[in-house]
Amino acid sequence: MNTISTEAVQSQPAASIGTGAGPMGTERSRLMGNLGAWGLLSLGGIVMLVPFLWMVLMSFKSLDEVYTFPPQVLPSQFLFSNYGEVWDQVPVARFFSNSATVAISATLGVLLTSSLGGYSFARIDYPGRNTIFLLYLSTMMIPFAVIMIPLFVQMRMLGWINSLYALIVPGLFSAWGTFLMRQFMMGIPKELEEAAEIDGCGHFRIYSTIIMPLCKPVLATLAIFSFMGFWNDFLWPLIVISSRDLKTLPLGLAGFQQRVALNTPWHLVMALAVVSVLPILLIFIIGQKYYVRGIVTSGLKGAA
Amino acid sequence: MKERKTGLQMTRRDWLRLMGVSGFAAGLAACAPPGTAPADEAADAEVLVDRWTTGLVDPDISGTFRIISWEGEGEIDKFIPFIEGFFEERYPNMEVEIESGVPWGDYWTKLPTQIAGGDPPDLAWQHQSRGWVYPDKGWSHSMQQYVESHPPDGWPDDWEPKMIEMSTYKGELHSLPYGWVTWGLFVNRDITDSVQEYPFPDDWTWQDLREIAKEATSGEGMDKIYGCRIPISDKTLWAVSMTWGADLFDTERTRGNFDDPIVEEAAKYLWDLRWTDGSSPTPGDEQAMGLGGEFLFASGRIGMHMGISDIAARLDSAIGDKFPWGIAPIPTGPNGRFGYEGGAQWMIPAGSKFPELAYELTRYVLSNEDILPTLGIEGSLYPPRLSLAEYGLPKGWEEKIPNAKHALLTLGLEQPTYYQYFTKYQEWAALWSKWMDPIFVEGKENITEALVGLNTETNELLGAA
Repeated sequence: MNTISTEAVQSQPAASIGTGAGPMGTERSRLMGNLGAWGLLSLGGIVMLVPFLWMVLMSFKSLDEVYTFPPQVLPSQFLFSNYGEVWDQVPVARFFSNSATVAISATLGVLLTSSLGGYSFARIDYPGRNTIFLLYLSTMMIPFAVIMIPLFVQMRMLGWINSLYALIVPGLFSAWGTFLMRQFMMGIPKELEEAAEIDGCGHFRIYSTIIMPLCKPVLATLAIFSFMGFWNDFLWPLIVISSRDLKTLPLGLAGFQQRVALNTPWHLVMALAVVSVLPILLIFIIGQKYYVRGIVTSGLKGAA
Repeated sequence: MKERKTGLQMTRRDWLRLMGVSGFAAGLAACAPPGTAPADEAADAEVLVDRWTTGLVDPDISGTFRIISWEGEGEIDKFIPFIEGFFEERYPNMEVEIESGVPWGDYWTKLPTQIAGGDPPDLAWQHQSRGWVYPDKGWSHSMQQYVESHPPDGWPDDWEPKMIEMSTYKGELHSLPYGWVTWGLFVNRDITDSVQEYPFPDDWTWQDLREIAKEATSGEGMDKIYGCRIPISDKTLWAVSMTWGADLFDTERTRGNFDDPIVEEAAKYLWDLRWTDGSSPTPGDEQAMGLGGEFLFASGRIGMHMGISDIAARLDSAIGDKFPWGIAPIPTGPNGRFGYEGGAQWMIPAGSKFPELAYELTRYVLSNEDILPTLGIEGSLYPPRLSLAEYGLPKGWEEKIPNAKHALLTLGLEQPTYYQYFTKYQEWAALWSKWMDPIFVEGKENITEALVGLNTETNELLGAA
C-alpha cells in the first residue's frame, strides 16, 4: 500500500516542489493521486451513508416533520417514543424471532453444505468431478422466478407451505457458497492434507481438523453474505408465508407500510427499518476482519 | 494427568453439544406450520340457517378458509367482523385466515404462484385490471351458476351495471363487485376562486380547465403554484380522447387506435399542460418538491388536483384548516363525460377448497344492506349496490362540500362506458411505457411519431397487424 511521506515533502527545497521533476515530482503526483482517490472514495462513502442516516434521523421525527417542505435534516426533537410506538403497533419481537430463526438456521446449513461440497470439489479426485461442479454452478444462471412455482409445488407436497421450513430448507444448498469454498480450498497447500493422510486421517477428519480451521475467513464471508441474503429475503417468504405469526421482518415492514394505504406513518416505518437493519450491521462489524480477508483470498476480489 | 470426568459431570464440549441439540430441536419446533385450534367448543354451538345460507354447504364443514387481499389493515379491518361473524354463526367448525396488506405489485406475483402451485386461497381480492386475465387463463372460478341459483340481494338491477360488465368474461360472472370509484377535480379555492367561481359549472370543458390552470399558475422554482395536477396515463388519455370522440382501441380490444387525430390531439393537450403551459407539474418537478399525488395538493401548491373519489376523506384530514377546498366534476365535451374509474371485486381462485362457501360469504358481505353502509364508511369505495352508493362519500359532507355528491357520484355515473382492460393489458403496459414515457415523463416533443410507434406495436401484440 502506498503511504504519504509528508516528511519527505517538507524536507524538499521549496523551489523544487511543484516542478514535477525528479523523485519529489513523482512523490507529489502520487500524493495528488492518493488525495484524488480518497476524495472520490469519501464521496462514494457519503453517498452510501446518506440514505442510512436519513432513515435513522427520520425514525426520530414526528409525522408532521416527515412531510415538512423543504425537508429538515435534523428532527426538532428526538422522539425515541417512535420505537416504543412501533413496538406497540406491530409484533416486532415475533417478526424478529422468525427472521433470526430462518437466517441463523439457513446460514449454518449453508456453511455446512457449502464447505462439504467445496471440499469435495477441491480436494477429492473422482471421475466427473469437474462436470458435476460445472452443472452445479450452472444452477446459478437460473433466475429465481423460473423455479418459484416448482419450488412452491415441492413445498406444498411436503406440507411446508406457511411454515418456516419452506424458508430454511430450500436455502440450505448454495452453488455460489460451494464455489466460494472450493476456490478458497484449492489454495490450501496439498502437503497439509498429505501429512494428515500419513498420520491416518480420513477425509472427514482432514475436512474438520485441517481444512476448516484454515477456512475461517471464507466461512465468515459466506456467513455474512448468506445471513444478509436470508435476513433481507422478501419475495419467497411473501409467497409461502400467509400467517401473521410466521412473518419475517421484511414482510412485517412491508405490511406495516401498507397498513393505511397512501397514509403511511413513515416515521414509524423508518423506526422498524432501523430495527431490522441492526443485526446485519452488528454481524458485519463483528465479522468485518474475516469478511475482507475472505474476499481478498477467495478470488472474489480482482487482485489479491 | 488429566482427571477423567464420570457420571453426570459434563465437559464444556458436552455442554455445548447439548445446547446445540436443544437449540436445534427448539428451532425445528418453531418452524412448524401453525396448528389449527380445536373446534370442539364451537361444534356444540347452534348453527344459524337464514336467508344468507344457500344450502350448498354442509354446516358441519371444517377446515381453514383462507382470504387474501392487498388492502392494508385500515381498509380490511372493516370487513373482518362481518367475515368472522359469518363463520361463527353459520360454520363454527371453520377457521378463517385473512392475509392482508400484501404490497400491490407483489400481490399479483403471489396469487398466481399460489394458484399455479395448487395451494390457492379460497377467496381473493380482484381488480378490474385483471378482470379478463384470470378467467382467460382459467385462474378464477365462475360464479355464474351460483348467481343464477342464489342471486345476491338486489341482483342485478340495484348493482352498478358497469361493474357487473367488468366482472363478466365471455358471458360468465367471475367475480362480485365490492366497490367502485369515480374521478373528480379537488379544488384549492384559495388558488382558483379569483379565476373561476365555485362551484364549477357542470358543463365545463377540458379547454376551460386549461385556461383556468394557466391563469392560476404563478411563481417560480420552489415557490411555484401550479394551476392543476393531471396525472397522465393511458386512462387519462382515454378519458380526454373519449370526451372528444375517440377510443384508444376498438370495442373488442383487438386493434389500437392511437393514430386517430383525436387521440393525438388529446395527447398534445396533456403534454401542453406540463410542457407548454407549465401549469401541471412534471414528474421531475414533483421529485424536486419531494411530494406527489394528494400530498402535493394538501401542501397548498396545486389549484386543481385530479383524483379518485376514495381519497376524499384522506385529503380532508391532510388539509385540515389550511385552505378552503371543494370538488369539481371531470370536464365534459362533445361526446360526454368520462369520469368513471371502475373498481375491485372478490373472486374465487381456481382450486379453492371451498368455492360454494366462498360464494356464500361473498354474497352475504357484498349484497347485505346491513353491512354495506359500514364498508363505505369514512369515504371509501362506493358500495356495489346503487341504492347504497352514497355511503362511499365521507359522512357529514352535505354541509362541508355540498356539491360533492353531485360532482363525484351523480356526474361520475353519467359515463356511458368504461376503460376496458384486456387480457394482454399487462404486456401492453410495457409498450405504453416504452413509447409514452419519453413524451410525458421526459417531455420529448415527437408525439405523432410515438403514437404511431405505439399503435404499430399494439397491433402486433393484439394480433391485428
